[in-house]
Formats: sequence, structure tokens, C-alpha cells
Amino acid sequence: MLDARDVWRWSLSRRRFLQGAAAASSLLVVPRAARLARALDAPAPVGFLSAEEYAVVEAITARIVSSDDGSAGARECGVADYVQALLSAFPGADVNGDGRVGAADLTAVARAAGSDDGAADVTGDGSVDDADRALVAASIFGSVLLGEAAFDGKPIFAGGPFSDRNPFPDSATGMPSTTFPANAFRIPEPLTRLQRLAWTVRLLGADAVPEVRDNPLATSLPDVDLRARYRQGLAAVNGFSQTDFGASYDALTSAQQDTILAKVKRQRRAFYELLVGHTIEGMLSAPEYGGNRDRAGWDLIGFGGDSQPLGYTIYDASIDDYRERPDKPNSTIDPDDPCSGFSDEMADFLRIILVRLAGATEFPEPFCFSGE
Amino acid sequence: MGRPSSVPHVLGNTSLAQFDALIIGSGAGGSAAAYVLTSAGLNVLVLEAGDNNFPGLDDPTPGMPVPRYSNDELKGPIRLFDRQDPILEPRTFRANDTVTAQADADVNILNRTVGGTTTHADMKYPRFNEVDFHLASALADAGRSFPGTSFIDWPFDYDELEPFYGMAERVTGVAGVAQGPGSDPFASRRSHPYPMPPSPEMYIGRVLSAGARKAGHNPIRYPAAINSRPYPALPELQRPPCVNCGFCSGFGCPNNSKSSAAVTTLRAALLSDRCQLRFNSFALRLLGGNGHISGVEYADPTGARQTVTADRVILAASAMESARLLLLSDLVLAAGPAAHLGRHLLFHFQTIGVGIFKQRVHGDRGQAVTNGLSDFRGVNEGGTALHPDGRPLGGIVEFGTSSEPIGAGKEALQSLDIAESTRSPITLKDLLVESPFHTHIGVMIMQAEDAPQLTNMVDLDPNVRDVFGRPAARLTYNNHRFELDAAAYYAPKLVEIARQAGAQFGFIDPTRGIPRTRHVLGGLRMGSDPLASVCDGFGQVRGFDNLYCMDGGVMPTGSGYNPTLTLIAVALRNAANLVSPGAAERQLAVGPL
Repeated sequence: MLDARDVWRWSLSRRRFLQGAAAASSLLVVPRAARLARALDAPAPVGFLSAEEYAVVEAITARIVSSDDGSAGARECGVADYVQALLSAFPGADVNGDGRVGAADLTAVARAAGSDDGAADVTGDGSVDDADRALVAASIFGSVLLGEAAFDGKPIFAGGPFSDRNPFPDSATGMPSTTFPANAFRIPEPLTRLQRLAWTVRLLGADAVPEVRDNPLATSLPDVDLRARYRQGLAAVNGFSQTDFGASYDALTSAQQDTILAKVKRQRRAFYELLVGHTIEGMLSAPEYGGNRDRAGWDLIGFGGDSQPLGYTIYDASIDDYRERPDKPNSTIDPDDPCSGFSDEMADFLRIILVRLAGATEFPEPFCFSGE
Repeated sequence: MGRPSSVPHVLGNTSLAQFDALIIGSGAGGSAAAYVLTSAGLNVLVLEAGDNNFPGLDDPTPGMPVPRYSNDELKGPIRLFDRQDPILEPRTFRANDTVTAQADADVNILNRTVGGTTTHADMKYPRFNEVDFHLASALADAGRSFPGTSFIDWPFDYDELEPFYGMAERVTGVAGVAQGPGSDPFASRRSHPYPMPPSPEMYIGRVLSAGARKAGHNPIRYPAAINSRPYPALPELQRPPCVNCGFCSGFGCPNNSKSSAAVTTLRAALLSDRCQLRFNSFALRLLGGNGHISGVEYADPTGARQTVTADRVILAASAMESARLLLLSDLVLAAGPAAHLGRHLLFHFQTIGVGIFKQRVHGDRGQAVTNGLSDFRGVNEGGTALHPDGRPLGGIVEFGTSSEPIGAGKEALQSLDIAESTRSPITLKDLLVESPFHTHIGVMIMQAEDAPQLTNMVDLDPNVRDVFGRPAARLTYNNHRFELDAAAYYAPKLVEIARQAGAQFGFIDPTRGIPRTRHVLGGLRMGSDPLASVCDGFGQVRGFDNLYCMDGGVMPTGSGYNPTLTLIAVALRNAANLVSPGAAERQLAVGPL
């Protein structure tokens, strides 16, 4: 008879296998870092950011969290894809520039059909055609047809309740079942009228929404008017790069990029914080939002990600009680936790930030509780 | 009959057109009221400002609804899927009335969704103590005076509420320990055990409990309205046991094991055929005059203004919004409400003790808080009186950790600045990977009672307006020595628990001016004295023959325990009294739950 731990392992490893079946041969033999790197060869997703801007976002976030140590950084996690998806929500559909997306924009696209009118070329592919009209229509009617998706289906709000990353529990056995839910995270949730107003402010700024004119937060919050903030911020980054090193940011050496990043931090603090925040979001959010490629961000920090519907404890009806996962217990220390504490550098840093600056106490004999 | 509803933005019986009662807000209080009133045969309309994230909530098929919630930190906490969005509904804050209030993104923002904030609370449902219902008298008898506070006794005592506590625990489904190891020695008497045994403990809860025990305290298994068994028995209302997915506090529950108002009392009301719920329907003001409310004006899902009438109107929009709705309505108020509306606002005062541990404490598993202690509440065993040793009145302590890596990562930005300025080699990546303030953090939050003060209040901001053009809620709030002294007294004890639990570092996380807790209470307090209260002893707004408040606004004092179970028990009691005045306890048998 199988030990509970074996059943868990079997169930979960089988799942990994099934997920990778389509590309099984390469997945099994190509080292992880190489696999992640290969994905970078794919063309940059089309959207609000131009190819040049996308390259700068990718390069600068890769210095905010680098892969110099050989583990995944922002680039390997696809942070630039995440930012592109966020900025491209309501995909450029305000064609006539009146601050609203509506039937007038569809008309404007129709009028410009066949031309290379930049405003109407929503897809940015060089010509105005049915694809542009489809995107504007999706934006207008998105709440019915597509949810509020960016160009390639990335959501503002991913759907629920489950992704397809974990199986259902089986209460008859207290073990994971072999049945997995469909991935509802892929289906964007429709936005209400009020949510659309708020997200219009976030993406296009307060000027686009007269209803928020008496709300100072609509202009002062760090996460509003994102498209303009990126456009201006990236132009400043490239301006620094050209002035100091005579090339665009993504063409600089890592050392030069670090120099410019420090300058951005000093002179463009708000944009720097925006980039850091989006780097973290793009590394640690669900992959359906465009970043965290192949769950590289979650793996990097040892985070389990979404765990439903399985979770970490299973109710077993036959004993009317719970069973815990032996590999990831809920109520006890992780079986592989060495209790070795922090690296010397981190421990020293904690002494500075906690003891010296925040008045914390360092206790002489810390220990790892393992039971009563 | 029109149920389940096929009408957009409407749940329940869509054919109802005449309403005995209109309830503003579908959170803990409004849903409890809807449950009692529909059980008693009244037809009820509920207006909910937020969206419905529980498709199928009015469908009796077992297994329904299928939530739109998920284990998704970006969606909820970061992108505000179901939150009050400060871009739409700004609020302002000032510490006192000599300064101009400033708009802030988080002045106690709560949820905008069917089910209200119970959808994202981690559902810690302890009771208040017996002494809480006459704390003003108890303090006076003990000679403990606090100038500037406005304590009053509640208009009823614990014994009167006790049956409704039991009912609230049963209808929502609370898991806990009533007796023996893990029970709360300071909890007051109870006539029934909890309907379910407690859920599995989190590792960090056990770590901190061990430390608390060594420090001489009495750690408890925290009572929580989260299923630890299939519950309740009724098939169309039955929900599964929690799987301890780790996305609990701040997250809607993907499998309905969290006993939110939506899937408990509200669902029962919707399945009764006597309830209609209009969501994405934002109440803007009350209509009426001469001591009578005729109806409510609201913005419908398209933004168009609608009016609806009902025999009775029940405010349940949460303490700040219920007070604001009254202030926004052109009504003549009686003397008590005129003097006290929006005032004596309460939040609990949090003192946060932190331990940084060598081991990983894996807060990405479990229910956010499964353990705690009540030793710092400051009452005697059984909670019938103040503690004989005269210790300050603090509050229950929650043992928890961090479960949100994006939020924790963003907090690292400040650390990164310090690292650079001190020439530490630590990078952002180091902070994300070693994550001392996420994977290795133990957090002890004392939810201490904050003293009621006339000057702590919500009113209308003269400069800032919401998306509907209405003046924003302005919070004026400053802490009193009452809670500051208690915090100073108990803070070292929290650090000592961290030491005894094996932490490497221990400290107190300083609190800022705007209250951090979501426990917003008061502003429409009940009381026996008509001149010192907004509502009478059953939550009826003084001076109106058909206006009631059934949310946390009615509480005269906030105790030092998570308030939602008490909020629900009071709503059940007051709604029962509305149905059968003077015979409240006889209504306990109603309803399917």
C-alpha cells in the first residue's frame, strides 16, 4: 500500500508531466534557464509600447531584478510582457482622442480603413484594417464579448475561481484527485461601468473622465495616467542614456545601465517606483497577466502560487478530519527547512534596519519550533 | 416567479414590486436583517453598490454559487477588483479639526461587492465580553476615569444578546473551541458549543502560541466563520470545508468555505422568494421628511438616477457610509441624532508585535489567523468584570504572518533605500528571495479597544467629491490616552512572546495616524438616553418612524474583539424586534439556517 506521501508525490508529479506533454521532449531535457531564455526569442507582444519602448522596459527592469546570479530575474519572468499587457488594456481604442471609447471610435477606424493613419492603426501593424476595428469593438463591447482584455487576452481582472494548476481534493480518500479544473484565470472578468471609469483614469488619466474632477487622488495617486507616465518616463531614460553614453538604454552595457538606473532613481523617483512596483507585480502575479513566465517568479521565491481547489489540507470524510500535505504541511515546519537562518549579508542588514534604525531587539538564542 | 433571476444586475425574486423593507448594503448586517425579515414573511429589497461576484447566488442548485474570486493577489489587493476604489470614492483624513483634511487612498476602504466586507475578511468571530455591555459603569465603579471619552453603557446586556450570539454562530457557521484546551478563559458564558470544531492550526500560530504559553499567557484557537466540516446540513446551503489555500485575509473565497454574508444569510434570503437584490446600484440619498423616509435615490448600473420606495428603510452600508448617507440627505434630525450623528466613531487601535524567525513560516498556507490570546483584553476570567489586577483594557491578539508576496515585495522598496544608503550589498532580489519580512515574519496584532470620543467623527468634506458628485466622507480621528497607554503597557509583552517563540529579532511596528484596521464602528450609536444617542435600543434612528441602522454604526463601544459576530448578533436581534416588537427572542426559530 502506498504511503500518503507517495500518493501526493505521484499525483502532483503526474500533473507536471501532463501539463508539459505538448512540449515534453524539450521540457525534459533542456535545462530550465535555457528554456526560459529561449522564450525571449519570441517577438515582443504588440501593444501600447512601441518596440523601442518595450526594449527599454525589458532592459531596465532586468537591472532592477537581474539574473546576474544565474537565477531568473525580471527579464526571464517576462516583466516587460506584463507591463505591455497592463498598458494595452482598452487597446488604444480611443481613436478620435476624445478621452472616451465608443461608437465614434469605430466610425473613425472605418473612415481611415486602408490608410496608415497612426491613430486608427490600433494594432500598430502599419495599416488600418479589420483587425483594428475588431480591437476597438472588443474594447467597446468587451464586457459582453471578451471581458476587458488587452491585445492578447491578458486581463485587468483574471477570472475565477480556479486555474488549472492544481487538482480538486478527493474527500473520499483525503488525497488529491486526478481531476483538474479548466483554467478560469484565462477568462477576463467584465468590468462594471464604475470599474471602467476607474481604469480609464489609471490608463489614460483623469482628464479622460470628467466625473473625477473633484477628486485629487485621480491625479495624485502613483498608479494613474500610466500610459503617459511610461511614455514620458521612458523618454527620460533614453534621454539620459543618449546624453551620457550616446545610445539608447537597451544598447548599453550592464554597468552603464546601472549608472542610468541610479540616475533615474535620483531624478525621476516616481517613475522609478512605478517600475519597481510593476517589476514585482510582473514577477509574482499569476502568469495569465502576462508576466511570471513559466512560474519563474514564484519558483524563485519559493511561493506556491494559487493553490485552489486543492489547497494544503484535505478533509477526509472517512475520518471526519483533515489530512495535511507531507511535503508542504500547514501546521508544522517544512520537512526540508534547515533552520539555518539568513545569509550573513542579510543578517547584517537586518541588524542595521531593525536593531539600529527601528529599535528592535536581537535575541541571543533563536530556535526553530518543531513541536510541543 | 422570477428566480433564479435572469435580469441583469438583479438577484432573487425579480417580480417583487412592493417592499416591506429596503436594506442599503448586503454586508454582514444587511444580509442578517434580510434573513430575519424574509424568514418572517416580509418582502425585502436590498441595494448593493458593488458587483455580484457570486453568480448563481439565487440558484438553489447544490454547489452554487460559483464565485468569481480566486487565489490572485493582483486582482484583489493590488487592482481593487472588489474594493471601494479611491478614484471613484475618495475619502479624506485629518487628525483634528484645526487642519485641512487630505485625500488618502486608504481611509478605511472596505469592499464593494455583494456580501460586503465579509467576502474578504478572514472571519475571526469571537464574542464581546459580558462587561463590554456596561463598560461605562464598570469603569466608573472602579474609579478609572478618562476625561475626553464618551463611554456609555449599551442599551441591553450580554444576557439579552446571548441567544442571538448563538444564532449568529449557527447561521454563519463558526468553528471554534468552547471548552478545554484552546478555549478562551476570558470569554463569557455561552449556552451552546460552536457548530464546528476549529480548523487546522497554521504553523506560525503554533509557534507563537508556544511562545505565549512560555510567557505565561493562555493562547486560544481563534474562533472563525470558516467551514472546518461540510456545513450546514441543508443541501442547497451546504458549503465545503476549507482547504487552507493561504489566500484568506483580503481575498474572496473561491470555494465558499468562508462563511461570508453572501453565501449564508443572504443566500437563504434570496432562496426564500421574498428577497430582491439589485447590485451595481449605489444608494445616493434618502428621500422623505417629517420623521418618515419614503424611499431612496440610487444610481443604477448605467449611472442613471432611480428612486425606489418601501415601508421601512434599513441602513447597512457600514458605519462611515451609513452616517454619510444620512448627512447627504436633506432631513431634519431630532436632538440626539443632530448632536451625535457621525460621532463616537471607533476603529480599534492596533499594536503590532513582530518576530523575524530563522525558519520559513509559510504563511501562504492556512487561514491567515488560527491562534491568538485574550489575556491582554483586560477582563477577568469569564469576562464579567474588569481584570482584578487593574491592567489596561487592550484587546485580543491575532497570531499571523504575511501571505502576500507582491505586497511584501513592494514594502521592500524602503528597505532597499536603507541598504543603499548604508552600503549594504543587499539587493531587491535578495529581499524577494530571502524575504525576511514575508516568509520569515510572525505578526501579533492586538485589536485594542479605542475609547469613544465626540470629536472622532465622519462628516462631509467641503472640497472633495466622489464620482457621483457628492461630498466625500471626511474622517477626523485622534487616539486617546485610553488606548495609547494600553498599547504601551502590552507592547513589551508582545516582543517577549516573539523571544519565547524562538524569533531572532523582535520589535513593535509603529502605527500611523489613519486607523489601519477595517473594524469601523459607531457614528449612529444606540443608547438609552435620547439626547446622547442616534439610535434607540433597537437600532431605530430617533425621530423617524421607519428608519433603522443595522450595521456596525450602532455600537456605542467597540470592545477589544473582532466585531463582526457581534454586529450580526445585534442585527439579528434588532431585525427580530422590528418584526415582533418586544418579543425578539421568540423569533429565534425562524429561517432555514
